[in-house]
Amino acid sequence: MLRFVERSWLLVVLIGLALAGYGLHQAGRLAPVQRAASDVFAVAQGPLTAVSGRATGVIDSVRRFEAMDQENADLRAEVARLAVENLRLTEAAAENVRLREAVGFKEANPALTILGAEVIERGGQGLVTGRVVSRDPSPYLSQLTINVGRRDGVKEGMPVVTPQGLVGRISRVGDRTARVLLLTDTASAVNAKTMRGRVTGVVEGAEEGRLALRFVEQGAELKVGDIVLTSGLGGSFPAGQPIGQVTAVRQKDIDLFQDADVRPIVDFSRLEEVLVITGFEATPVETAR
Amino acid sequence: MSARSRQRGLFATQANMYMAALLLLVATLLHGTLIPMLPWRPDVMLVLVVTWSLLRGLREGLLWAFAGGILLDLLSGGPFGAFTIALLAAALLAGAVHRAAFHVGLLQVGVVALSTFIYEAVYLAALATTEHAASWGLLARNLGPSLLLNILLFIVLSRPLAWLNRKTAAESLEW
Repeated sequence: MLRFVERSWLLVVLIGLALAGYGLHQAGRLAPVQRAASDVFAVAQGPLTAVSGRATGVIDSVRRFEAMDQENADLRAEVARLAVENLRLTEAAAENVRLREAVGFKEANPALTILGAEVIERGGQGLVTGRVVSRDPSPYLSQLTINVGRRDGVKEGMPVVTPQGLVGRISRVGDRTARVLLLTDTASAVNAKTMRGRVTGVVEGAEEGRLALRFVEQGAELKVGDIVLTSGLGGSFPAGQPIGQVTAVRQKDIDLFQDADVRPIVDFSRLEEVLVITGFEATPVETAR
Repeated sequence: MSARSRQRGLFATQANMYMAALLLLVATLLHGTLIPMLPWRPDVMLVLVVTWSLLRGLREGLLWAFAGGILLDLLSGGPFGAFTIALLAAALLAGAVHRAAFHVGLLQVGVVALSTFIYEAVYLAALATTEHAASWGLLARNLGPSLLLNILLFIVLSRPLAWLNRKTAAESLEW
């Protein structure tokens, strides 16, 4: 009880002093004391303000650093986005060129009905990645899969080309995909002729992505550098599609035919878009009378 | 057989089946994606089948060969069944050499080498029965690197496969 009385007394004195100071301040009687106190405090406030300013500056710097770090991250993300965008635009520009060539191909071949397609899978020896989903597990096959199928009107046997030249033919058709047997597959055989001498033969797929021109008559004039085209004989392929260029001729008098090595015009390792020829006028087969 | 041991056996059988499916699927995906990009191709599926045949014997080896072969054939544009037959032939050889205690020795390495040759030869022979020409020259060029890679792969894979064999050895594979 005594302690409570003592504390109450102290409380009353402190409240009284505060009220007296408030009264003196209101009356203007505390001004000299306030000025003196300000001068004294100013001695200590100067350095303290400087230190505080530096500390604030450091904190601001840290904050700015964090902001810069964030800004840097944002800029990096922006650069990455722009790089991707740049790649996409470059790709779109390249695709535009290819598609323009494809349009040019269509205009140059008005008799053909063509269907655009995109390579989604490819396989075979020595092929590199494009937009590849899967490859053929066999090293002995040269085939690829495209993203058009039966529902797009694709049928087995249809020729597949690029604006550069012949790619192969459809060997298997699904509803949404089709498998293309490339010229370089050992199961591939195409009736061909040379552009210069109109020498006819059959271009077959050989090992390791090569082509061979076979069954060329012994007397026929076949030279290195000759351009080989589809002959259109047999009706499987439209005539005049570029196949490749002769790189070596093998001729022996004891053989019935002469052969040649042919370098494909189409780079099979970089195929991305191909054109499936869904309709064309087959070259009529000439019969002996 | 007690109910508990039956349950344990059923669990081991199921684990064995899931493990086989997973390993064979992974091998198939590798054959369809990564491996064709390599300059020399290791036959992951073949090594899996041969190693498992050496570990578990003919019956399971043939089951793995069949399942793995079907998966590869589904992925391939080649004649359906060519991979399956080739793998079955390899599993037949490896399963015949199966011993109760497995270890990586000269015999096992020899089996892998011979299996590689049989696998490639049978596949090409199957290919030759269709319109595809058998690339025997290509086989001759590829066989050396394939043998080396498959033996190395066998040495690498044999330890984890032996561990999996121990973990799932309570029951044989039942499909």
